[in-house]
Amino acid sequence: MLLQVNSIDVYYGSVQALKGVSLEVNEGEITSLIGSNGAGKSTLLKTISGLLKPASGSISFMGRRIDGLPPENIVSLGIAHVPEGRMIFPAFSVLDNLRIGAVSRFNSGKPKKEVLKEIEEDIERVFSLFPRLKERKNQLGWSLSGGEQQMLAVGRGLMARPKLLLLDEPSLGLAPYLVKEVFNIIKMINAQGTSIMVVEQNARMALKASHKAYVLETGEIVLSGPSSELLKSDQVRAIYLGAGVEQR
Amino acid sequence: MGFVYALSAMGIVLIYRTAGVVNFAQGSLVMLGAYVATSCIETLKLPMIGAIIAAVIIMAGVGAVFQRVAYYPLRYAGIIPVVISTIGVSVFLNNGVYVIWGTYPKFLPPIAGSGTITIFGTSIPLQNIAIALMAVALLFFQAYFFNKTWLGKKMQAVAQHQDTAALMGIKVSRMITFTFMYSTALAAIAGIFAGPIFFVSPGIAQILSKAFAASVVGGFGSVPGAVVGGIFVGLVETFGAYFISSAYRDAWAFGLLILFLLFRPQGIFGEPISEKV
Repeated sequence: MLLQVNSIDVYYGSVQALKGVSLEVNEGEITSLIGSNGAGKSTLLKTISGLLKPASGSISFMGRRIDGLPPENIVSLGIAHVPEGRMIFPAFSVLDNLRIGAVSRFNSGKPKKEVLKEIEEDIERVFSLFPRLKERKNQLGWSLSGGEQQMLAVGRGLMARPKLLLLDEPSLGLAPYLVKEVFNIIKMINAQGTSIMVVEQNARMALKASHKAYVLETGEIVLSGPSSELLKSDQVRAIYLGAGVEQR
Repeated sequence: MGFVYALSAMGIVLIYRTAGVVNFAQGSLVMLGAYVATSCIETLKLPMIGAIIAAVIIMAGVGAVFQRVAYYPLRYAGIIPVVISTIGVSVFLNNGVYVIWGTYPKFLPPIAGSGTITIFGTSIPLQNIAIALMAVALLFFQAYFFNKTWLGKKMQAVAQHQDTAALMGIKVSRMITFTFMYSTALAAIAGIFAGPIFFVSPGIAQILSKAFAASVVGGFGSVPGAVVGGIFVGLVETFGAYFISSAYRDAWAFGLLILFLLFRPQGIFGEPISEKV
């Protein structure tokens, strides 16, 4: 087990956003979390990456408790969070956005020179995944298109060399053909050995790409299981897949 | 004069962008910088260059303490409590200097002596040339620091998206401390420039209002805007005083501010980046 979330409660002020949520992410797999707007999906990712603190419950990563650690320590342990809305640094070039994604690696204890060399190698690796980014490597973040920003956000997440990559709504606002491309790349990254947890409103895409899935509704996990089974479940089809109009 | 405004405005803008708060003590920090430089020369008998370096280092330390006292405990409280606490610090400093340095204004010698140089029949004080050279050197240093060093990039990242910067592994609160230290060091340099023009007294703290005028004219939140706005305000003030009336010196600067607020509230460089969502 790579990540274990154990019945966490999370509040925004006095509003409870997550109620006793538990889930597990297995090593080497893609786990998806689906649910409608406002169900608490982003809240869950923010709690895992340390931006929010759970009021109760615990989170363990590779057997070590991480709830209560600040985000900068959690990313050093190997969890990279690609936030909703991409959050590209608008005044940085593509290259600088990628480089800043790697700052956590200076805490690894390796000599600085070696880390710098690794960073340049990893930038090439990201460019081989996303050739578009290479063409635009000196362009500023704000001038990229939505799809390019999403690619850059994922690439920046990879620069931390994470064991677990958290993706928040990677398909948001993208044209359908780009959604497909993004999910293909997610599968490629997973095949290269990075475990992934992806949060999506596009339930069909997420279920097709993932091994295991959880359904979150108003702060509670209501359903979970292998993605292939959830795809067939009447409940999921009725609410999230628009049963009847779907084409196979 | 424009460079003094520019440096003070830059300090305000950097803190605003990184911590999201407006620092009303910046003028008082400029004043304190001038006092500290005076003491470095008079009491410690340091040569000019040594005194400048010492004052900048001491003021950077003051910036760290200032951050810890006036901002850090209130960092989640929103902008207004922090504004009030920086005003409090400003009042404390403006009156505190009387206790340490007495009520008589101090004299800070010009950094380049009081000589003049004649170019094409116009005599220019060496001091002005030294200020311009130092300001240009500082701008080059700053461009290098923020764009080429990891520390500078980390500080910029925090200024752009605080939470995302934390997700990258950047220690946000440490970067905010560094920004306060840097802004206060800028205030020290502004104070060293301003000292010989005014006398060193709490009157220097009034630079604050001109620094705000400069940052609004330049476009609040923009660093190049702060520089251009500062120089612009300085020029308007000087030309207004020379050609129209020097009794209304301050009125020209604030008239410019009012014109900008009426007709171009986003300033010269106002938010060129429309963030895509």
